[in-house]
Parts: sequence; structure tokens; C-alpha cells
Amino acid sequence: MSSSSRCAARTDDPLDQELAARLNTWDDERDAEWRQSLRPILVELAWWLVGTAAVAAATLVGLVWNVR
Amino acid sequence: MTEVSGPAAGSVVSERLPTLGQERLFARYSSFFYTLTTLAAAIWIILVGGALPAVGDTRLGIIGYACGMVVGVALVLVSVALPAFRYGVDSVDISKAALGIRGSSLVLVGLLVSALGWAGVALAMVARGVATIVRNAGQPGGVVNEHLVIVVAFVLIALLLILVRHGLDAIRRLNEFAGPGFVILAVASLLLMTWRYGPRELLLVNVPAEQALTTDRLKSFAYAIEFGVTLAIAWWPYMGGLYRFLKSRRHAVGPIMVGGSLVGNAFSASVAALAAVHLGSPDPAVWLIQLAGPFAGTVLVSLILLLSVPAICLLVYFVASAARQIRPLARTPWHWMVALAVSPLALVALNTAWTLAHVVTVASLGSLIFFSVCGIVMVDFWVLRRGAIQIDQLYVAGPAGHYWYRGGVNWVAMLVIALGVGGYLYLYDPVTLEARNAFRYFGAALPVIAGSALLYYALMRLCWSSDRVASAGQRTPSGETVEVGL
Repeated sequence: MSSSSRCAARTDDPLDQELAARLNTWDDERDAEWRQSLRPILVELAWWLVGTAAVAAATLVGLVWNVR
Repeated sequence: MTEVSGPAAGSVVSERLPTLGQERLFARYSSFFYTLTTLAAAIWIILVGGALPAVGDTRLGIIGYACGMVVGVALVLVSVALPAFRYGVDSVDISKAALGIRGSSLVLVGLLVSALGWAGVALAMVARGVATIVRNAGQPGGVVNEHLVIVVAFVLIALLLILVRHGLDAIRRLNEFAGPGFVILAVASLLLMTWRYGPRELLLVNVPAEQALTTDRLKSFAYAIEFGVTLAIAWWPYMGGLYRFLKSRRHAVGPIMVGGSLVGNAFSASVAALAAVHLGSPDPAVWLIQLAGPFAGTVLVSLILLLSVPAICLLVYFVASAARQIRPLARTPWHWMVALAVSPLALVALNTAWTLAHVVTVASLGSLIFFSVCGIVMVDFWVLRRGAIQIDQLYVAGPAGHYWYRGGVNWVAMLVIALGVGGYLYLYDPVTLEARNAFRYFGAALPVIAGSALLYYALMRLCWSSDRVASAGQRTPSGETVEVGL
């Protein structure tokens, strides 16, 4: 394991070696990108939930409690 | 193994390694949309559609089911799909941070039981459906030829072996045809029913009161929501395996909400539900032939059976891919993994009637752990670890690893899962569909998910220092040795 490596493969198996190589080159920049991209995802999800809550509320009022 | 297209074309990616950007197969909205639609709208939707009118009011059943699906899918997205998308690993790997490196075996077992169970049920339905079509062509109303059912089932197994050995990319290509096919068939079926009954009568007919689960309208709505949430949470173990191959965050929500929840699932189930209440059976082999006539009906039913094959392929892919978590299988050639995954289906081929009578129950019970797992992983990732896990630690098997806990298992999570399953079965029996009075307010799945999340948070705060939990999400040079497989 080089001094800059975060981890090393436990065995000489090519799969373990490839795993260690991928983990050592894991791009931390993606973490920052991830946090930026998270907000629009959560906003979109929130809209879906708001719409669903509105449909559920209208169903309760109109079909379950039969409010006229 | 999955062969990838694009810049990494020709290379092969192990199912156990974190997916790199160029290996992500779902680069377009439509490809992810059609894959999720196919998974949702395959032949098992008949079972769901057949259950919906039993809530007592068909309209309440349809609306409640759609609402439950959206809420359930939102929980699955937040709990496992988004972390899997971020780190490029599947649901079993994501669960390691909360359940422990060895504790995640519970998720693996749940995934194998439910995926194999549903693959078996779908295989049995398709094989018996083909035999029914052949019977109807010769002697309508006669007995299905059981030898033919077995032959068709083994032909299907051979087809699965051929298709799945080419990996997820081949299945994705098949779904580009199956997804639109299901949408067109569902729309055509609804138009046929609307033409025959008229839109008003179509929606206003219900099952007789004595056949309904309840006459309490609030409880009817709770049942419908429960069906939707339950089916969405049953996707928990599979969504990690798909989202790790998603390329763009712009496609994280839309395809699963529109394709997976509304079009593929709620709409298709609604068509089957309306058919069940008007024509006496949710089985398209019965109602489509009544509705469209012997020839056109047979063609449409044949298409539904054929289009279900890619969805069974997806389940077999999930089984073969997840089984690689078991260390001795991690390095087994992919075609042998596929053969291993389909081998239990040979038993199904020989016993299709028994499978349909019993395996739905086994597959449903196998999914019970995922209510609590969903709540636990959600609160663990987003609250305790502040939205980050240390990816290299997912592959460190030993006491030095951050996610090792005690003997590789987070016993707090195990306790919460056990209580969650007990609480769910106390509120609601998913086999007999009997429910307690409290069920009428929030159902059973949503309280269990919320209760598991809160209890897990409280117990983890008590048992583990906050610094210890939060630091497990910050990436530091660990110097650990990593390996593939549990």
C-alpha cells in the first residue's frame, strides 16, 4: 500500500486488487457534487408527496367521509 | 458480470465492485423508465389487481393503492436508492453500515427469498397461462395439460439462462420493448372495458358486500394504502441493484414515480382490478378473451405472457448478483451464477400449481423485514451519519472496521427488526388480511417504518456515542485491507 493509499487489497486476487484500486481512486469531489445535486432531488420528491397528500385528502373528504 | 456500453464498452464489471461513472447503464430517462415499468407491470400485477376490489370500494382501492405506492416508493428512494446511486453499490452493501458487515446477511437472505419466490410465481403463471391458451384453442373449458405446463416452464428456464448470462445491459435492451408493450396493452385493455361498460359504470361497480374485507370506508382506504406501501417496500432490496447503474441525478425520481409507481404499477393494477370486478377474474387469460374475443384476446394474453419474461430475467439477475456477496461465490464465473440462480426454478417447473398456492405467502413473509430495515437504514444514513458512509469500510471484514459492531452484527438493528416484524404481524396478517382496529388509521407498514426509525435512533443514541457514529461517515485514510464478499 502506498503512503497515499487509503486501503489495500487483503489478497492477491484480481477482484480484491481491482476493489482496492477503485476505492483508492474514489473521487471526493463527487461528494461535493452529490450534496449540490441532492437538493433538486429532494424538492422533486417533496412535490410528489405534496400531490399525493392532496389526492389522499380529497379522497378522504369526498369518498370516505362523503362530505357534500 | 455486466458488459457495459459507452466508453467502457467491451469491459466487464463485477457485480460486487462500486460502479464507476462510465459503467452506469441507465443514461437516458426512457431506459430507466421502461425497466421500472417492466418490473412493475409484469404478470404478478394480476395478483395485486385481483386483491384491490376486495377493499370494498373499487375507486377507493385504486386511489389508495396509487397513493400508497408513491409514499412507499419515496421511502425506498430516500432509504436505499439514493445512497446506492451515490456510492454505486447495491442494497446489501448499503445496509452494511446500519446492520453490520455480517448483519447485512439478513438483507441478502430476504432478497434471495423474495426474488426467487416472485420469479417462481411469475414462471408458474406464465407456464400455466401458455398451457391455458393451448387448451382454449383445442377444447375450451377442459383441463390444462400438466405435461405441457412442465415443458413450457423448462423452455422458459432455458430462455432465462440465455438472456441473463448477457447481464443487465441485455435485460435493459429487452425492457425497451417490454415497457412500452405493457403500457400499450394496459391502455388498450382499459379502452376495451370503457367501450363495453361506459366510464361511469366501469368505476362504480364494487364486489358484493359479503366479499369485501370491510364495510368501514376508512379501513377500506387504509387497506388500499397498505397494499401500495407494501408492494413499494418489497422493492427495497432490488432498487440498490438498479440505482447503482443510474447515470444522472435528473432521472432519480421521475422514472420510478411515473413508470414504476403510477403507470407500471397503479395503472396496470387498476385495469386488472376493474376486470376482476366486472368480468369475475383478474386473470387476463379469462377476461381479455371475454372482452376482445377468442382470437384478439389470445393474441393480447400471449403478448402479456411474453413481455413478462424480461421482468423474470431482472429478478434472476438480482438473485445471481446478490449471491455474489457470499465469498466463495464472488469469483464464480457469471454464467455459473446464473445457472445457480435459476436452478430452484426447476422445482417450480415441476410443481407450478403448488407454487401458486404456497410460494406467494413465502415471498410475502420474506419481505416483512424490509419495513424495519427501510426505517433503520434511512435514519442511520441521513440522521446518524449525516448523509455519508465510508465506502471502503463496507469491504473491511474484521473488528477494526467501522461497521463491524459486535461480531459483525449491529444487534441494536436486529432487535428493532425483530420488534418491527412482531409489531407488523400484531397489527395486520398479510396472509389472511385480518387487521386490528388501529389499522384503520394508518395501516401497518407506515407505523412500523416510522416506529423502527425512531426506536433505532433512540437506541443508537443510547448505545453508541454520537462522535463514533458520525465519524463513520467521514472518509479518512484507514489503512485497512479490503476484500470482496461477506
